[in-house]
Amino acid sequence: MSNQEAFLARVRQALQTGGQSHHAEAVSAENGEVVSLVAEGEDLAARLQRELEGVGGSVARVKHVAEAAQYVTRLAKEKGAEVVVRWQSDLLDTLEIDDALQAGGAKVHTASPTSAAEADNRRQEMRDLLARADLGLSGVDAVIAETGTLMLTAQPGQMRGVSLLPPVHVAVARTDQVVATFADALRTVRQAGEDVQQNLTSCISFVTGPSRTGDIELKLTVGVHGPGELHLVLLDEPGA
Amino acid sequence: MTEPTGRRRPTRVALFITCLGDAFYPQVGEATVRLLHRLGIAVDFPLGQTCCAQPAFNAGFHDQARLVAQRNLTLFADYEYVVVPSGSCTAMIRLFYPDLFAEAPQLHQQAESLAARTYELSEFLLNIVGTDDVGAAFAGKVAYHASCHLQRELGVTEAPRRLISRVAGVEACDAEMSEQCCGFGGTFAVKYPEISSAMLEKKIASLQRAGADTLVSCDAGCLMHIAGRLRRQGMDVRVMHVAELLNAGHNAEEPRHAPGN
Amino acid sequence: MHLGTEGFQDHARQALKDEPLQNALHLLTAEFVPRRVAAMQALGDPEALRTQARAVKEQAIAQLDTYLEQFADNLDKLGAHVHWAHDDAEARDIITSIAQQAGAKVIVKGKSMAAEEIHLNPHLEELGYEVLETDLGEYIIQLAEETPSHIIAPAIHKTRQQIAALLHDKLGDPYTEELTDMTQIARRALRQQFLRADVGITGVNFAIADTGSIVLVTNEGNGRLSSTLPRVHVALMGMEKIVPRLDDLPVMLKVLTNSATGQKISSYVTMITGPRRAHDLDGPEELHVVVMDNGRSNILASENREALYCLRCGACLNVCPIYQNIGGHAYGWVYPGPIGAVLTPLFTGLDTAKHLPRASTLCGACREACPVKINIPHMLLNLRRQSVSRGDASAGEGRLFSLWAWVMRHPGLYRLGLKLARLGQTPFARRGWLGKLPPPFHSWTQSRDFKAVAPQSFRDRWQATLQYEQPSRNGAGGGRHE
Repeated sequence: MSNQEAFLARVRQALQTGGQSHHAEAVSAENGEVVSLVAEGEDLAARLQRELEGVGGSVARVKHVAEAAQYVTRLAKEKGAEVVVRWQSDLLDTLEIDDALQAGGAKVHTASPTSAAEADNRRQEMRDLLARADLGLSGVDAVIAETGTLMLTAQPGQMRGVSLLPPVHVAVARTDQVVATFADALRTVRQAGEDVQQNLTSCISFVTGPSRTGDIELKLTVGVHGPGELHLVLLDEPGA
Repeated sequence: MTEPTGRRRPTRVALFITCLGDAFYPQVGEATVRLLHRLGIAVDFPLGQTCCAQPAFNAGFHDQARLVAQRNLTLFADYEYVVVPSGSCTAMIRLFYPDLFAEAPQLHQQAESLAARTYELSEFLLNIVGTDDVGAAFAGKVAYHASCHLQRELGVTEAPRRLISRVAGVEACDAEMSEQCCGFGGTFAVKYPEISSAMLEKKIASLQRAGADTLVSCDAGCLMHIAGRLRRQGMDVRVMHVAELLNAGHNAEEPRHAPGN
Repeated sequence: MHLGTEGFQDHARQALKDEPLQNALHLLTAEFVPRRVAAMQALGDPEALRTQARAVKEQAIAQLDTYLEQFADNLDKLGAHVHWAHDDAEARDIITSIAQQAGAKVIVKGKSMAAEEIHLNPHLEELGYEVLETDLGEYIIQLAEETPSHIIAPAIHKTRQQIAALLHDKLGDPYTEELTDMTQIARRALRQQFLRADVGITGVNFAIADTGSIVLVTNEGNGRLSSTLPRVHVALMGMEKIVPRLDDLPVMLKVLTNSATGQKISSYVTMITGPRRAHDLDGPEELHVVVMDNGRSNILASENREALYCLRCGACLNVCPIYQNIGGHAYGWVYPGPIGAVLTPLFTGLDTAKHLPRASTLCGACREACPVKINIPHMLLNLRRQSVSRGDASAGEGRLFSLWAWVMRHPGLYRLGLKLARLGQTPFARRGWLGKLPPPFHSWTQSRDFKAVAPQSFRDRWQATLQYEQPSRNGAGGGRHE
């Protein structure tokens, strides 16, 4: 096996050999700034809705927490969901939705944060549940208007699998979580604190619509590995 | 591309006819000379010229290419403008001559100088002479074939289209694949005849869909390739070089129409 | 199935006669080309974006040693393992030993061109591992025991009916040509495997030096599953996948997805920063990143360095008039199309791949479509020159060009040549055209007539009359001037 030094030495040698003939543009820190396609003053929530619906996601705009809860409950019933796995987050908790879902015939399991030791014990159980789950209910860390994209970090209470394994994924977001661009979404992570690696969490999933494939005759089909349905409930109640 | 503003109108140019133009399409050179004459521009034709050296260069035979190219550095050294009725040969001179002589400082300098003075015909007319209407007249449904080196090496996309559109009587009907390669590619057409022919088939099909009765391009190579297939199929589409079209209605000897001629 | 690049001519000929393939290629051209063009146009200033993206790659590659080191240090801080593979054998060995230590039986794979490059699957299968491709297209190809024919649409050469029959035969499900049903069959089969798998192997689209993150760009979600469910995640990357900063990601992502599929963003973009953390309820316990050279440092040292800027988006394939006619398999190795015609000889050597750089008209459509403006036609020219200098051309061709150069340097000889051609063609010429040419030019006239040398060349006409004609004095030429 090569070690790092030997590997990098070869790279260095190659860079020197080919060096003169190659031009490299000096790149400033601002280079990553991409011209935003979202117009100044554009209604972000409306744009988000248009974009996400454009790729086969559904968006429900609701005014109150109760309305959001109703929407999710009705959807779970419609889908005949028997097992629901959800994130634990302040927003989802305020929906007080578990009882309503259970009344509708679904058993709700929450990926609540635990101690590291407890986490080791619960992983297999949560994995088995997710493998059987009919619906995954999550919040978001941000939503990107330009592309209709949900940003989901992985942290205590926020399992990756909730937005991945069940055939239906429902995400609840507040309108004040909508940002204009991908770069803006990354900035929310950066601004959360000093340690970027910490803030990035082990995994950020950017989700834009249902799972899709064009691998058979380039015809679009959804739900090949991830959820076949993605619903975003957008709660327009500041400070909710 | 040089801006024409504030620039003296050229009065004299050297013509680089290209080997294909010389041997197979003399009427293209003739039209080019008469067209430039009508615009008040005198034309010199340095008799020592032959080929731009592209066949050998593209095939990877740079030594042979250099021998041929080097003569052109001298032949055209004293002209302010060199006009070429071919995008491909212009690209050879403008882009690849400097590369070809990269190792020899003096020749490299000459190559850079020639590169800066060499223009494809349509870009010369629009950007240097500053005209998009040369007073030609031609009745026909004309599709333009954008030759690859002209559009993608030289970046000349607008000039031929504008010049063609200003010819009285022309009905421009661009084929949807007007920017697609015809499959000529020099020796490619001979080395990979099946692929080349398949590309050509698609080109001609798009021409038919466009309902064109005349095909115009800036490169004799493409024209010869496309016309060769049209003729084999017995299809009645005229194939013209842009110089012929731009001189139509003026030449004593009107462009004779391929296929057949 | 390994075609080998030597057979290019034959494979291309077969491909041209393969009707299902031709239909698929027609579909590909009709779908992907306009989609990409429209998507790039919608970005406002696509040219500026391409310039930006290229600048990122230029910088990343120009200081590759620094960024790789930074990347590795950051991964180290996260508790991930970094492995360095000099060549394909080392990369295979590294991955094998990871699988061994994990006690793996079942391995799931996300789509990875790098894994194709080192023929990872056959190797692992030989060692007794059960290896499953999970990208639907790759899965189909694996069931059919074939190789991908397109970088991002690996099964494009197969019809729906062929795939339906394959799923029926191999998985035993009832035959169906319904796309949704076919997809669900594959979902069920693969989901079981995901849950059983001990190791997930994926490629890497971007490796971010300043955070140690790796980014996977997918639509199906198999990349997410492969990097979430198995206990061990192995990410295999060519060393050129580095981008310097997290801040470079927005522009790179934008050009990649818009160029590849015309999507503003793919369904899933997964940014992985280390293995799962203590409190996480899912995610892999171990993350191994395998950084692979496998010939890349040779490219780095060469005049064709910019081949390393390639994002593997496939846009150059879709616009290439050669690829559009012969598809991917004719190229005979992992990377097809224009970029394949450059990468294959650079990776595998000109010995077997000398045909590929020649099989191009140098039309430049690839460069125009490339999100990082890689000058593919000029690199093909470089490779042709290298190929000739190392003596690949036939003696006949060499003699022909030497003769050509000699004639072209002597205008008198050139003139004589034209005269002889005129004489020679007289019996065969019909109204200025020839229906047949002698070897080695006879292949032209298989499907096309060839122009006869004109009775009077331009220079004859010039000397006879044209040189005495004068420019018009007013210079108006009957036209208007700007």
